Amino acid sequence: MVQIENLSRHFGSVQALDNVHLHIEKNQLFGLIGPDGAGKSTLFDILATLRLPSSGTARVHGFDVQTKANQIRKRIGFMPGQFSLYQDLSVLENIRFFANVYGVAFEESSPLIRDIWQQIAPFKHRPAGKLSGGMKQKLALCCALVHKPTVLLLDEPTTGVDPVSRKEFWEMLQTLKSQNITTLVSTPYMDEANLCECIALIQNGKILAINSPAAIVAQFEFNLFGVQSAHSNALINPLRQFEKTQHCFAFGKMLHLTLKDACATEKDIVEFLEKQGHKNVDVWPMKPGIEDCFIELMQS
Amino acid sequence: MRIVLALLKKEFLQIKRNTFILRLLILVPILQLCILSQAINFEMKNLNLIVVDLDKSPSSELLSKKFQASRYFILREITHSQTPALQEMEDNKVDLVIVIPTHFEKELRGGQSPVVSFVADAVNGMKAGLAANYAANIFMEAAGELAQQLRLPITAKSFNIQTTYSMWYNPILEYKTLILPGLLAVLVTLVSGLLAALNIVREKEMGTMEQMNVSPIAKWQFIVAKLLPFWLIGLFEITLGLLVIRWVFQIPLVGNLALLYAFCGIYMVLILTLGLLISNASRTQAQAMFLTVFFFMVFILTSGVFTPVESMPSWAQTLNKANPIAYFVDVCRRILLKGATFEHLKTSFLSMASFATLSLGLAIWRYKKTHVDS
Repeated sequence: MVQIENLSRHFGSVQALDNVHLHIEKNQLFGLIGPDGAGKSTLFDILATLRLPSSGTARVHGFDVQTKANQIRKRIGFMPGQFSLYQDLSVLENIRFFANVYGVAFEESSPLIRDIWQQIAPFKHRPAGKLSGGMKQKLALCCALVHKPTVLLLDEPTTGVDPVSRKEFWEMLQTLKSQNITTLVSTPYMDEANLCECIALIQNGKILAINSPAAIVAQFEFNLFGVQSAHSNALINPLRQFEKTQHCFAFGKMLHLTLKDACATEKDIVEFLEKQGHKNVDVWPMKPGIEDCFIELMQS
Repeated sequence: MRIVLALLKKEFLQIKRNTFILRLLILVPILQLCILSQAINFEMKNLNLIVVDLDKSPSSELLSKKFQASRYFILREITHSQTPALQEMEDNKVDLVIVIPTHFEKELRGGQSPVVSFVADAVNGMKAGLAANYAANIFMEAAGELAQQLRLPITAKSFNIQTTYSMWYNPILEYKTLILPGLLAVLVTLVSGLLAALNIVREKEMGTMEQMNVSPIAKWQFIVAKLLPFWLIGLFEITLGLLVIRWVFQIPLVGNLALLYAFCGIYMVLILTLGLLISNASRTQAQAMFLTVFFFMVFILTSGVFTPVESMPSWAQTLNKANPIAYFVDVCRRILLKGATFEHLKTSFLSMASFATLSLGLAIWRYKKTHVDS
């Protein structure tokens, strides 16, 4: 559905996208995971025909973004990172406007938007600008789907949205798979990565890895430990100086510690810390998550 | 067509919902026409005057009274010595000092010509000129009366100058008739041009422009849908303005209004596409506002609304050939005041149509759905 080959885009001397290769299968829910400034939005802008690539090609639905932009525009639904509906128009007026622009009638019962519409229908006469963050995103999704696109581009749809709405939003995305929709969604939240069928990790304009979340986690080849004490932050620097340490990062109140040495155990770590004068430290082996893999890939 | 209708429906919904714009549309023309036409006036009133009466005769007293009765002057005082009066002028407290010489009446009776001097503060040259001229007129009138009273044989011949008025000194009404059609032109330009420019930049600021650009809306559809509402607003504004001119100021509109609307229609295309070009060049509403005000200010000040084009240096007059507002002001005046016909205005129509076509083409060319740079 989406084929990206050797795609690069620079802004002056800043390389926003660097030789990106990406293939997205039909009806896939594909996640683009990366920190702010990784180049996610630039990639979305190019796929949505808002910007031209500096070099390389990108095809959506088999149409080249540079030469067949109009064909693409008819077939995609795009939700930019910034809320971009008419804040002074009501929910219903926004949906009707986008339906009219694409020449379709707004059907509340269409299987594509039925679930979303049920959630926003109680607010249908409220101006879009007066909705909560989560509701705004649901409305934007509804507007992006109203013309029955086959490719859905969602640029950080859940940024700044409360956890409950985020969960609901992702549940909606899951159901779209059965509706013949290919979805490319970006997010800075690692927990959302697990909800995608396939993810690409991106940083500084480069794709670090592409695979299913499970496969990416399986590729993690180091021993991972959780470390926690009453003063976890005070442990970061000593642990980074430990000769067996690969990386050490803070995850909330605990630390994730990766060791180079496959044979090392939690006992070695506790011993080392006690030698340094840190008592009452909990250390336990951990299964890696996407975030650990991402940090690992970023470092190498 | 369906897309254009959808876009138009959205535009009107937004305008209808924006009470600020609605109030602006109604109040601005009425207030501007009423206030500016009163405030901008080259007729001087309330000029401060001191009469230095060195004669102290019934004749000199009559002369002073005449000035006292005038609506142009405020007679500060009548003194009998010249120096303090001139000192007052130094202190900016008085605009004109009239000195009636000793033996004024005596010399008049004796058939001589006494010399009455007018001293005007010429820091503001225009004001001084007007003051001296007003004073001269009053003086002529008074002198005529004086001559009758004193039964001097010189009246008719010497004082018939008072019958020749030039435009400058005509009553207020003349100036208002001149300024109102000009103000009307400025008003229509500012309101619709600015609204159009801001409207499009607002779509950029709110991010809705991106949604427009990823949709299959064609360039011409977007531009037509953006221009049409403000085009109609412009025509609404000129209608409102004409009503104010006709019914509030009671100025007869002698010309062919259909001709005026036709010209205004072409002119609006030019102004709105200029607004579109400005919005294309700016990222924020503040930038667009600044650009619009800057360009329109230059256009307006050199357009001949406030100062006659003929008094500008020749290079400025040449530049005015490319000043759309100058054309519109000129056409408004010629149609509304002189009743000019299409035959008279053919060249103006032709120039305006070429400007509008050029600007429209430029606007369509400059508006890009896909950004090549940054």
